[in-house]
Amino acid sequence: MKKTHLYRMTLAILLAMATGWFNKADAQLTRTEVIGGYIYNFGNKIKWPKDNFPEFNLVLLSSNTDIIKELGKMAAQEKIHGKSIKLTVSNKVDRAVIKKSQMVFVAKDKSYLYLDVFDIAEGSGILLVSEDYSLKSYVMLNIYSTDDQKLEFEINKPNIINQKLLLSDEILLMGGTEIDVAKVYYKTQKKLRDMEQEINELSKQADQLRDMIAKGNASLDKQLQATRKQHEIIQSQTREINSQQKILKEELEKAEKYKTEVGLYKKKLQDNRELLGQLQHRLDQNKRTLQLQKQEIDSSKKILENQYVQIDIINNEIAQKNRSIKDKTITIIKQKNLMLVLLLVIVVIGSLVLTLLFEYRQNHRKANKLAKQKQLIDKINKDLQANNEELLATLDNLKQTQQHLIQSEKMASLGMLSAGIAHEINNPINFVYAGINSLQRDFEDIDPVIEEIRKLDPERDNLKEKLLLINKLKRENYFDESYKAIPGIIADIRIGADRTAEIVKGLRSFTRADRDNLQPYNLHEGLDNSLLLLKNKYKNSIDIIKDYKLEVPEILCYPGKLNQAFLNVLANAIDAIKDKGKIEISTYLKSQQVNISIKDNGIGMDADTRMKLFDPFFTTKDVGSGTGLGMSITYGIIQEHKGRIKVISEPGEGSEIIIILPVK
Amino acid sequence: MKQRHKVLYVDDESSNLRIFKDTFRRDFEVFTAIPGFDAFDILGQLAVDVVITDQRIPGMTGVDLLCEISKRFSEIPPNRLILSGYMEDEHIKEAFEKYKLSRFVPKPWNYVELLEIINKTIKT
Repeated sequence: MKKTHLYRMTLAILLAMATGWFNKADAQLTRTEVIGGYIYNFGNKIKWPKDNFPEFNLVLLSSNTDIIKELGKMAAQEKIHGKSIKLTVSNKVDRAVIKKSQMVFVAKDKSYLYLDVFDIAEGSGILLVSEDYSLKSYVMLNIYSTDDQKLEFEINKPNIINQKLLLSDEILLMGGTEIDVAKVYYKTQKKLRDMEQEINELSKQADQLRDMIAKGNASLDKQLQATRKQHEIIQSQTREINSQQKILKEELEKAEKYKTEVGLYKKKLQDNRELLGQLQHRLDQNKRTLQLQKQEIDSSKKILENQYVQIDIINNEIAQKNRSIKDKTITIIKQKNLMLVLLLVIVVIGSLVLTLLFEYRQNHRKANKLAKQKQLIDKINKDLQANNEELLATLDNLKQTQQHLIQSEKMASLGMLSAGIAHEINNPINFVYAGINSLQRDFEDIDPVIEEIRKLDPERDNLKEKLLLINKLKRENYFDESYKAIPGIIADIRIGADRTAEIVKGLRSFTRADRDNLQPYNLHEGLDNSLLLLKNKYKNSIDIIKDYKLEVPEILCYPGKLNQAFLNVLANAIDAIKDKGKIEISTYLKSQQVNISIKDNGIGMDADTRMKLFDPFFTTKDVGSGTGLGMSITYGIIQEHKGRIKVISEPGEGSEIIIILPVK
Repeated sequence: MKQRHKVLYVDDESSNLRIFKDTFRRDFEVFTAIPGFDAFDILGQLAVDVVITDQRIPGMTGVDLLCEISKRFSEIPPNRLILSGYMEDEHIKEAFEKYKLSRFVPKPWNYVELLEIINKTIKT
């Protein structure tokens, strides 16, 4: 009741009371009670244009329990503008709550929230009450404590008007100071200017500081450079020191070396000294021995003198002896001569006896040996006879086989030669064949001219005219050329025909072999026939040098067989010449025998080949090229003629085969 | 007078050379040579249309000579080269395959046949 009364006190009373509040203990009014009074009065003395709110919404922003309690009490007991008060207490800004309210009291402890509340409430019919708030331009109603502990309030009218709230003059009358807006503005401006000034000063200070820093940097740079220079100097000095140290070290090493050298010299010196000592010692010794030797020599001299005396004595003795020896020698020589004559006689007799004895013994031995040999010879003779019979039988066999072999080899060599023979015949045949053709054309050319001449009648014809015609014909038909060619062509045809005939004749001598009777035959003919058949094999690469002696007579022989032998030997000689070469064929008589030498300058034969030369089936040619029978058959043929074959050959020096045949 | 073709005949038998020249002198301008340098001299001096050589010639074969000619005178085509001889053996056959030589004429040759062969060879 007392309290209720308090809220209903007018502002004037309230203010009057409040001004002396802290001093008047008897009034018993607390600061919160006064604030409550103010709030209540503000609510009633200010009019809200829209008066249609159902209840008065009062928002309190504070954590102060006294104020919360006080305003709670007030809200419960009192009414503003006849409406009940709804108090909402909060310690933070709730936009929705504030928007709905009519009045907000921001207590001193929440002053920092005031500007937020102001922003929300501005221009929306909400009255803001603050406590001890310093930013006067935002104040609507501010309760504040004076210096003398009184509680007063101030009004910022424009802000309240801005809220479209109506102020009753009563509030102003009740006291309360109106805040002078202009003053506030100036104050603010001044504050701003002060702040600007302050900023200016601050920036000046900053500039100064910057300058200082720049200066500091410059000096720092200088110092840095100086430091660098010093560093370089130090480095160079260090280098110098290092090099000096090095030199020092080297010097030290040298000194060390010198030291050791000096040590060595010292040692050597010492050694030398010792050596010197030793030498001196030895010298002393030598001196002593020298002295001793001197003494010895002296004693020896005496002995020598003694000996000289003795020698003289002996010499005398020897002279006496020599004289007696001379006498003896003469008698000895006389005795020696006699002895020699005696010895000679004995030796002669002894040797005579010895030779007689030796002769006798040898004769005896020879007789024994001869008897033994006789026995052996008898035995060998018997064996030989048996062998001979056996051999004869074998020989018969061999002869038969040989006949076959000779025949087959002949056929083989003839077959091999046929190609060459054909070519040899073919070429001269070509002379004949083509020559006749040519001759015929020549004749055709000259025929018209001859015909014209033949028809010529000297009595009737105009000779001059005819002669001109004949000359014309001559020119047209190449008469002169043809006429001149004819003798040559005829000669060529003859050569061809002759050569063909010759070859055929040569071949005939080979077929004659079939007849088995002996007949006289010119060996040179046989050699030439063989060469003819082989011409194809040698004609391009081998020179044939013939040396046939006229003294060589015809011999009785089997010409076909002998030709085959020549052919074989010549063929081998040709084969022995690998590239180019020559074959010398010579015949001569030697001790009633015909020698036929065939000598080539081909590859020659080694000892092995020479030995096997006449072995059947031995060949140095490739398989299929030779039968290996040629030389063995040749050997057989020569044997059949009671002749021999001699072989002279060395590898690389050619071969000479000499066939030796008896004349008869 | 029309341009006569030049024929070179190589053989080691002078009789053959004489007879050939006499036989063909009405048809061609005939040159004869013994094998070797004579033949090369003529080929070096004249533009010969056909070369005929015997196969059996001293020191070499006709095939060897023709090969040498193709080597020395590359302007003479191998199809202008003819061989003559007794028979066409393996050696000649191989040469024909290798060197594409033109023809082989067997001996003894016949005038009419050989004339035809030479004429055909010149035309190719």
